[in-house]
Amino acid sequence: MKIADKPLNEAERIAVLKKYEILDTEAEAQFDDLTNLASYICGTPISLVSLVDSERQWFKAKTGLEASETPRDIAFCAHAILNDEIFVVNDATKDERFYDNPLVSGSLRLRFYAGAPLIDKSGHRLGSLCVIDQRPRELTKEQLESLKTLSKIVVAQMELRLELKLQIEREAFIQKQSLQMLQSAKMSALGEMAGGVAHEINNPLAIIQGKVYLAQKLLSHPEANKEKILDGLRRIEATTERIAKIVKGLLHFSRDTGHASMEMMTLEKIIEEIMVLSEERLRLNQVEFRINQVDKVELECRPVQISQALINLLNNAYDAVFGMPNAWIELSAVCKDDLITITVTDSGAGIPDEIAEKIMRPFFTTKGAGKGTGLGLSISKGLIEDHGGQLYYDKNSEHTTFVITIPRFQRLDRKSA
Amino acid sequence: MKKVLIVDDEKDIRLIFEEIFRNELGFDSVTFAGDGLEAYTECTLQKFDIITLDHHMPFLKGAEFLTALRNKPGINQHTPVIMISAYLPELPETIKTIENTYFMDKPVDFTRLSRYVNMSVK
Repeated sequence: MKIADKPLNEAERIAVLKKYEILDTEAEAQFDDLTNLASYICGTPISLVSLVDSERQWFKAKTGLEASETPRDIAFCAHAILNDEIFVVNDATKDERFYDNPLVSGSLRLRFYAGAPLIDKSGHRLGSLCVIDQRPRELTKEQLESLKTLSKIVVAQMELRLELKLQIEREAFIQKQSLQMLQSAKMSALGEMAGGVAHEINNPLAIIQGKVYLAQKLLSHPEANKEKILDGLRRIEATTERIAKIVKGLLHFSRDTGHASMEMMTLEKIIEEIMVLSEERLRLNQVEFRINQVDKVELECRPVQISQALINLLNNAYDAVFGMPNAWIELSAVCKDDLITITVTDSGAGIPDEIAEKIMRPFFTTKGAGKGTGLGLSISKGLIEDHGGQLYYDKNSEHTTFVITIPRFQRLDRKSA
Repeated sequence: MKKVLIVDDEKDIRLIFEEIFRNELGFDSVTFAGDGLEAYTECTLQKFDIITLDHHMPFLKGAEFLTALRNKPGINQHTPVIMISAYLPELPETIKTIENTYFMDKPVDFTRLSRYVNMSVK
């Protein structure tokens, strides 16, 4: 038996083969179809897509054979990859290279072999598309041509398969990256609030601490004024509640809400929670905040996501009117025919058309460097659209108005009659 | 008669400071201001021995009030000021070198506050 020589560029050839990430993968119909077709065209019971690995040949597709690989030493395909032309053995028993090959002398009883090398675009012969019979044969010129054509299709399929795999990996990477981006945009929105939060928490802490200090002083007098101490304790109680409310609001805002479930929540509650976070900043900077109308209805939503979108609109409105004389922001939330419409209007004079058309794009921002990520509106729009709603800029408004619409119910079967 | 001006937009904090200044530090006159503008007006009306000043307030912030106070000749131009902020990093760099000014965090360390007051007011 003659063992096939190794190609001169063997190491490089193996490296190219590995790059296809196809060895030891599951069977795939597009390759099975090709071996079926090859065996039909050539009239042989067996056809294989054989890839020649360093020590074995491995079959990506097989028609008429159970085995999934054989040692390379006995592989006919190891011979087929030594040349660009089809390798044909008409009767292996009469061929000194193969008559004592276990595939020939063993139970497979191989007699006829024809293998077209699988030549990839870099010129490497990675394996072969072969047809095998248990009796001596000859193929017609047309059959040989067809086998060669099919071998090119096998390679094309391998390349397509790799391209698809890379594409899926790229998409997964991009998706992962944009998820991280979303999270960091949320964190930087949180960072913008950090100063405000320090104020919100340290001020009440100063009150608690002051009251405790005074109570200690009072108690050190022989005739402690009980009423005064009790009053101090009541103030401490009220102030801790104030801190707890702020902390709750913060946790509420920073939570990862990707998998939060839908729940019934009143409009009033959602708006009250965002006010805890925004009120202080608006008041301090003389931005008048008006709540026009909030209908007393429940809606089915992920409340945190709605709050996030609303806080974003309020932050934008605040940035737009900050420093303007008589600045105001107005909010209303009404429900009509099971559709909630929330509008946020600020005292600004609207957005110029050329900017308005870009504002929903990710990373578009008119805020100064380090002030905005340019992601707020696009993220908010996504959150609202996840609820089957819309977020848009109302260009017909006299002032600057953004509108959120959300269906009151997310599932059709919940819809009220 | 020792006089203090307490500037803070939070009523509870004004009242706590009042008690400390009256009962602990022996001040007879306590005046309140709820923001920088009110404080500025008070400063044109009477001379104080010391001013406690919050920063984060509506209308005129503490630091802006302080800059105006020190830059304009007036009866309180050199009055000692204790700036008490809930968030010191937000104070503008420029005011950190202003004369006769102490800086403190909220929550307030009252022992330190008393020490500052006693050092500043003879």
